[in-house]
Amino acid sequence: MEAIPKLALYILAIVIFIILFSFFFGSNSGFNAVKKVFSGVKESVNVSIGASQVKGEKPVLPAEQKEAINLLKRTMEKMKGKQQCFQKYQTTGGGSDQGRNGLPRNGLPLLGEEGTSIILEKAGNDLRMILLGGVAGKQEISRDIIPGINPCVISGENIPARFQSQFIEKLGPVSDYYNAIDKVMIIFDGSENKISYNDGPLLDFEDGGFLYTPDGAQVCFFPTNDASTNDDGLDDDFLGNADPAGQFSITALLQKGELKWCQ
Amino acid sequence: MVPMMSWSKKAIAAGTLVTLIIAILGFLVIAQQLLTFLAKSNDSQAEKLCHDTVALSAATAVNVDVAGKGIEAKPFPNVCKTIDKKISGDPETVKKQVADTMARCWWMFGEGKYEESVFDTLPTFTGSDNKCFICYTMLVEENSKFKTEDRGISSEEFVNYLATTDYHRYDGTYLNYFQFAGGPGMVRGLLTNEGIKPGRAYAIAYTAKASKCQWCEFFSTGGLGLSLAGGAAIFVVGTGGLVIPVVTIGAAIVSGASSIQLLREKFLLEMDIDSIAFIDMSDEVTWAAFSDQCTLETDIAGR
Repeated sequence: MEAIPKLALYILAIVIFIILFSFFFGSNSGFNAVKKVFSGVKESVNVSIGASQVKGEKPVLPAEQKEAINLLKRTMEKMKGKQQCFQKYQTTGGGSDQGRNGLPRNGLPLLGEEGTSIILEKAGNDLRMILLGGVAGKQEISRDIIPGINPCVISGENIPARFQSQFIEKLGPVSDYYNAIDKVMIIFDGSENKISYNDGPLLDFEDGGFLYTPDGAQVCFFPTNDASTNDDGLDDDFLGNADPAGQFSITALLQKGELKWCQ
Repeated sequence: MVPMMSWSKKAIAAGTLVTLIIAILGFLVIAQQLLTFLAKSNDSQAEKLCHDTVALSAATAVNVDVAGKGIEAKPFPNVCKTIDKKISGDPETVKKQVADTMARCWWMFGEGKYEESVFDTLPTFTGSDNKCFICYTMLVEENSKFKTEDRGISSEEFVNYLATTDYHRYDGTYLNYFQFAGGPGMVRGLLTNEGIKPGRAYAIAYTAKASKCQWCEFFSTGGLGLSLAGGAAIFVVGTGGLVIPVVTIGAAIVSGASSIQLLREKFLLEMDIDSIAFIDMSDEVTWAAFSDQCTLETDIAGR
């Protein structure tokens, strides 16, 4: 009598085993069906293991900008030791945003959104030029020293007016017509190249590609102003927005010999 | 009298239950001891553990691309702790020690080579706040060659050091190592006009890519309206040590967009690449700004 329940248990176990076996391992078994389902899922869902990686690359300057900035650097080096003279750093046919008669408003090509920025800072008696670019414009591309030069600007309280008085209107020599500074920054503000100095406000930079040196040891940049000369800078009509027929454009004055090129 | 079979089953069940309880308790004790051991492990062990767990977490990340949407989940956590260091020496030695420590932190968290933030373990569909982890807190100690009353190492000087000095574990400068040895990266910092000098404490943090650098925005809006003693310098390598003065109460912001604002927006508010941050902890305003606005990941010791 006791053997019957035991026998029933054994038979039940065997039956369950047979059912499970056929479910999982038969030709049209549930196991194969599950396999097919998951294979289908796997094909429609792209699965991979391992975090995606990004590779760093050495930041470089676009070719057009490299040429223009190299020319800027060479121009500044050539102005060392010269006195009260002008030089042009703009590449022929280059420059940003054509002004009147096709002359460029600024000596550099547009530096671009999340593009290149240029920093020129005083380093003792020398000038350090730092170029930024790379990923989102946030990496340093290079830093070089231009020996024997410090930065200056024709900007500041009454300074552009004095410069205009002496060199453009020829009203006689004046003092304090340039501003010795610690740092110049040239950056793209979303629509054009702008300039700032000593971490101050962004100023128009329609300099026509001109630089000036008062004494061969400092090289001055020209922030500009649109309507007329003010403390920000010279009227851009003298520089990047000059009318070639205008008697007061720096270009015309240089051509007439009334202003001096740095030779 | 209880039948023998019933008594055996009860004994077996009780024994199994006791075994299970002992095993669970044992596991908890061992885990606690393990974490305590890890928290007290020496610096190089802690650095290696952090590096290896970050790498393991990345290697075992599961990426699922469903209908063009990529989702990444990391099942393993990073096991990292903040390491306290004391450094001393002449200014050149201090610069090297700081630079080496920054490089070590960069290495620990994968050198910026992971596309997703190393701190995100689960998919974040709405984007993530910028998260950072303080790898080191560093105290510069005074010695005969560098005293508290000496002029500190300015941000310009330190930035120039990173950009021009070779890193002995890499074929290039420290800056090149941060910028492109692994993935793309950059260096940010917050120093006062005191610079790096004895008697001050600094933090080195790995900051993962995110949508916004909140602690930088803190300064762009004037923060708590307090001025820092002696001003502050937010430097970003590549800006030549740009000094961004903190706006004080009542100070007029220059009209129009300033270079400061533009660079702040460009370099500080948009954190789309990983970076190493170097912060002066000795100034409570700057430290509060950093720690409050940057979501700090806690270390395994719970700090």
